[in-house]
Amino acid sequence: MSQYATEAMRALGSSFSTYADDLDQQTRPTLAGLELPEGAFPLFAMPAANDYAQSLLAVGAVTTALRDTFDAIGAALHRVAGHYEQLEADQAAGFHRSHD
Amino acid sequence: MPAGWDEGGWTDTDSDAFDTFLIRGLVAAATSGLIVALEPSGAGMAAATLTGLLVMPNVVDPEPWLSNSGTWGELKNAYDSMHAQLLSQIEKVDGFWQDSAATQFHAFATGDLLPALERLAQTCSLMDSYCAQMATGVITTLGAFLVATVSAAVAAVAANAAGPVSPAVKIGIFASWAAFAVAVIGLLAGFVMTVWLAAKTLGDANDELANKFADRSGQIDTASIRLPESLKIVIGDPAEWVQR
Repeated sequence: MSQYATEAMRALGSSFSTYADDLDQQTRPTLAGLELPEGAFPLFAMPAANDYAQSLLAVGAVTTALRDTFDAIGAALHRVAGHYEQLEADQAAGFHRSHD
Repeated sequence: MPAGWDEGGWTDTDSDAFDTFLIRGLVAAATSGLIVALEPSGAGMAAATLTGLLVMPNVVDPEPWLSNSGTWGELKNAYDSMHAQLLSQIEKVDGFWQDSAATQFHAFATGDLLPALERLAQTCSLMDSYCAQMATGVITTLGAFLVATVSAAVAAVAANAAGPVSPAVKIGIFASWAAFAVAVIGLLAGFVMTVWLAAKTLGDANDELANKFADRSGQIDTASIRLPESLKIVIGDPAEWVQR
């Protein structure tokens, strides 16, 4: 049995990576479809066109940053689990060599 | 996945421009009928000027606003759902990772990540409201204008059909048109008020995110929700993890 909770670490890493993918898939195409051309705004509402675009841009930027963060957490957990599984394997190999 | 979905999104700008063109054509046709019905009073030109300068530039296709309102609402639900998932994820982590590093992770997740998703959901809700208000304003203005124009044209045609147009009838036609013009201006003023209120709602949507993320330049700064370097290091130290 592993000394470290590498299995749980991997599972958690995978779920964070899946979560990042879900966030991307559920929001990115939708955000792209929310753009409005200036022609959609009546003349009296034209000054609001820029505000609308800014809000859409802001929602996209925050969503992208969140996705990257969840992805980074997932990848970090996977790398650490892999590193310590390798370390344990090396320690086990050294133990066997010392008893040969 | 909602009906009508595709990777390109909901809004087909070419189709929307065509729809706006058709709607403006309808307005032009209704106004033309009124102009013909008002002649030979001379009021037709005034009606054409009013329609061309004030009404036409403010008549757009309401469909993109309606569909975008629905899409912002769906996006709000998606962020709410992601918030619930993250909360569940954090609870799982708390279940088997309990030390100083876990405390840092918990603080980052609950103090920065969850509030970010809440702000996104709130912003989407406000944008949904803004689009719905715009759609209502556009539809109400268009409908009222068309009804008023057709009614005025019918009244003018009826007056002409009654016999030779006397000066009194011409004055009556002019008075009807003047009342109509005032009604249209009032309608537009009401629409401007609707747009102003909608724009204020949109400002609120910007503030929702700006309150959380804006930096000094007023641009959105997402640094607070990036994984902090110190947390990368503690996550990277398995000695901090519960041993099994």
